[in-house]
Amino acid sequence: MNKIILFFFLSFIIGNSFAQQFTISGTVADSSNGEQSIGALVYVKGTSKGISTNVYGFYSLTLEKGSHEIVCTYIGYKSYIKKIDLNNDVQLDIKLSSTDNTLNEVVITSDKDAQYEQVHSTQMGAINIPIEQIKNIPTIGGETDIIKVMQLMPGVKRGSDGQNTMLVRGGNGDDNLLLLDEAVVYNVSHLFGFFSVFNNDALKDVTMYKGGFPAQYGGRLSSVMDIRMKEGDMQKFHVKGGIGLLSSHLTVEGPIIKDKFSFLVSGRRSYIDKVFKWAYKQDILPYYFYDANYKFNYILNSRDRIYLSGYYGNDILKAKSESDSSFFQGGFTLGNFTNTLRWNHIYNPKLFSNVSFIYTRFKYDVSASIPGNSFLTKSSIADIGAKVDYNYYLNPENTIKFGAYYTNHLFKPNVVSTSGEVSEFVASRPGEKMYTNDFGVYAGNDWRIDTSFKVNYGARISMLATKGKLYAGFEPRLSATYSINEKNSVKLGYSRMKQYLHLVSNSAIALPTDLWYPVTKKVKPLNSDQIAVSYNRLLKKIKTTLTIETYYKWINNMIEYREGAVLILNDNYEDELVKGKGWAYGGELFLSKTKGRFTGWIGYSLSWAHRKFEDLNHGKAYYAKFDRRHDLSLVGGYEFTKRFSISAVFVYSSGQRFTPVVGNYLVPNSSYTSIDVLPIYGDKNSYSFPSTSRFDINMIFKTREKRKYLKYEGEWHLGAYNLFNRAQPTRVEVVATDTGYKYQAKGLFGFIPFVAYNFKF
Amino acid sequence: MKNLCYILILASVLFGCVPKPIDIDVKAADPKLVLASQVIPNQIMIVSLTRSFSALEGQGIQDDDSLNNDFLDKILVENAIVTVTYFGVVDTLYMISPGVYGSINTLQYNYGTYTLYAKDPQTGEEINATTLLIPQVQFDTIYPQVIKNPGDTVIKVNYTFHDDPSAENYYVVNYIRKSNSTSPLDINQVFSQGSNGIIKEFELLDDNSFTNSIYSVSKELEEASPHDSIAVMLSHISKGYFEYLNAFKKSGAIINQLTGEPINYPTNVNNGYGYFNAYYPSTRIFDLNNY
Repeated sequence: MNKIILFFFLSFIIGNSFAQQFTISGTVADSSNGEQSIGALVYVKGTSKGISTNVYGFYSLTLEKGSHEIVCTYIGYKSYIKKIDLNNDVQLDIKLSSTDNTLNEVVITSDKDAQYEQVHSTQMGAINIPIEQIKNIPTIGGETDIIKVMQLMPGVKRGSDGQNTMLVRGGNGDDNLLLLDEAVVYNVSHLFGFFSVFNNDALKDVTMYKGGFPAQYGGRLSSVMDIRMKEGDMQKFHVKGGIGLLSSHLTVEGPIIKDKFSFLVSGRRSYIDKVFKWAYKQDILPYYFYDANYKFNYILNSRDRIYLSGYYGNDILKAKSESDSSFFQGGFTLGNFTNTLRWNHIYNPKLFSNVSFIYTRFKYDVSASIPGNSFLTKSSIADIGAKVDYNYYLNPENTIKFGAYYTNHLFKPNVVSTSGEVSEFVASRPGEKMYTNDFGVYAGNDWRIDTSFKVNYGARISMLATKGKLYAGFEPRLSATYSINEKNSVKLGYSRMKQYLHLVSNSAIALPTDLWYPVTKKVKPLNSDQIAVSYNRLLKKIKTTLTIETYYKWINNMIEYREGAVLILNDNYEDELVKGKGWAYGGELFLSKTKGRFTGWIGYSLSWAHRKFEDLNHGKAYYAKFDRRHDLSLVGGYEFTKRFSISAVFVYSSGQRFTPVVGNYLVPNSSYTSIDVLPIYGDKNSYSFPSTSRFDINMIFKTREKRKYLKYEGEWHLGAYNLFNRAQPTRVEVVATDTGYKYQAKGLFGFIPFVAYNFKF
Repeated sequence: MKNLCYILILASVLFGCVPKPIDIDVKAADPKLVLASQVIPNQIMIVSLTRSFSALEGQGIQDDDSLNNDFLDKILVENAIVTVTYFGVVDTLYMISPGVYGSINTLQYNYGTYTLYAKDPQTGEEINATTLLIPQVQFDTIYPQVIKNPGDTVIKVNYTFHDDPSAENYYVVNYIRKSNSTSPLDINQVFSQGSNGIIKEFELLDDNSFTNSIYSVSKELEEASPHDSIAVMLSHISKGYFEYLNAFKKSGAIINQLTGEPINYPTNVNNGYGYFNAYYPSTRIFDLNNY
């Protein structure tokens, strides 16, 4: 053990043993609006010395005294080159110019870029996508949805047709951590899961980790999706918007004080309720959703910067039925509210910190009333917390990240208020408030051992205090890269993850009443161990990267629900849970082209996901519901001219699994007064729906009107979801035929055309 | 412009197609024997023996709400070998009618262990099951109440009974109604009359339901009317059958059928379905016209 400590200690100090060194540090941003660039590569030309900007666009590069040619590259921007004579610490804030469009791209030759970094960095199992790159991908309603784009990545399986559920490498739907400017978003969906709550106009960048998790992330077993909002244009006012078939959106951003203080406000509302009311002169579908994002970004001085950002959104159903003899009123409201206050501070050219204060809340209420009777149930989860993150750029070989976090969770499930006769059946109750405190520390080092071998190692110590119990977990993380040559590398990763809360949701349908619950004395934290190996290749001539990755994941303390479990308004839900384990393995292929007139990717995964619970399926192992053997996604976009381009998605996948009713039997009831027909279920998830495919297309026509004082751009999106009207089976039904009955697998969405208009000025 | 947008949205909804369903095969479970039983105190042990059937046939029954003769011929087990063993005695049950077997010879010993064996001569399927004969429990008091309020009449049944605190006990109380009866309710004929107008409500009780070993309740029968006959049946049952009924009760509510987890009902029948019981119901019948 002492040798290991000595080994890592030496790794910290080796780089400092050189003679005179100075540090170049600063930020990388878009020259036109001051927006910070996440993951831009800053390196010394002709050497292996380089670093990526962090999530706040900061970088720090310590080099020997002398002359260096600094290069900065970032997708969608012209490369930046500057020669520097380094004889003291230098602050170099880099402003990148957009290539504007790929047809007119001015290419400055650079030997390293994001694709190179993807192949040679220590990070594995990660997908990073600037929002601009996915805005044309066709989805239902014509509005690009980042969750649905992620579902097209290998290793990420979608839930039922149209749903935003993600199943990552054999995990469950609640194993994914979704962060919006560091605030946890508990409910990511509008319209029962068909739209995500993330409004693209307000977003800048999304990174998803499905393996090789850096030490700063934790709390969920299967994936982390780190979504960052735009900061607001520091120089000019802009308006951006779009009119779609189901919703419209508008974003305004601009400087409050030029180059010092900016804002961004974005809103979205659906109007299917208005359309039906207009067409049928009554509230046939009185449902709508809205959301709003805001962000303020204030530069205090060259070392300090403050951000305040948030999200507020709700889904609302307000049904009313009135006649001479009766009056009914009911509905639901559910939504998220997040707020993040962050302070970036640069202590010195090598030490960057961020302190965040975070509040996030998800709540719902369902109500119904008729004269003399009313029913209202409410549930919520609210977190208040703080975290501090440090990036210490020790030397060119070692970048250390460390930090700590604390979150107080307040769970208020199943508060019920009733009046009238209904209170005889459902009594009012205050609900049991549950508090948990989640805290921990982490540290990790990205260590470049030599030009071909890099290691990222670290650990996270997580703790959770719940009623009568303190849980603690040690979560080691390791990933290593061996660069065979400029074009090829192999990577190895290991991660242990702990999860201290879970979603109590029945397996049949997702409901707004699904609730997050903490672990308790009886329900233990989930944990997973994952190992992965990948081969990575840079196909420079065709501006493409290839990743082939295999993984094996073990999950312990999984929970499932007993046969016949009833979860709605059930305070004793713990009694309905059973404990077991899972394991998953598979291989993934990802061929990605992010440059040129043609961009897109091929994603394929071959995977298996197993579960074993002593109290389910007679104790026998069974496949997870979304164990789909094959998943293939072809995503492509081609820019024919400056004003016309096409994007298309083709998806092929094996069917999800289901538990069929394979028989029935008749038994007399307990008083022998009638006969009941009881079902016989087959083995759990023993059947698969048929394999299926889907083809979506989006054609984009750009209009451009340049006026003297206003640069106006508009674009029409015309396309279709599921062009060939193929069923994506999600349920099985028994249907009558002329000769008897048969089973049919049914899908939800067939061919759906869409048209949308987006504009900005 | 606004109207144009609305028209576009409606057109999208209208032109949006429902995808063509895909026919799939689901292999039906092999038929197995299904057992149900009842004891009439000091008279007879009755066993019903049927076969399970495919879910597609099951859908037909649920849609038609009737059992045709062909279907009954298929599921009722005729000429089966059915025996009950207790205290070293083996009684062979006789077929009363297809699918129904009984024995007047089987002596009934409280807390005696009874093992049933049955063999289907057609398929060769064999089952066995073991149960305890649980002693009858009587009501201490029971009486109905017809409370006539202006515009509303409430029917209640009030009863009490004792629990033996030295043992773990389970009970089911069934409420049965014969609507607008002109003749008294005959509990032995309800089954043959079909289920029309019958309350299928039941209540499950365990030791936690008792206060000082007494269960006392005033139960409102919402579906009953002042001209009905009602019967209340109290049965002292085994823990296994209690769990079976509990599962049935949970999965029976419509909301639970939609949102609950699938369930295979508990059984004590090896290689079959159903439940082998030996309990004596204690039944009280009331003609509400008299109250």
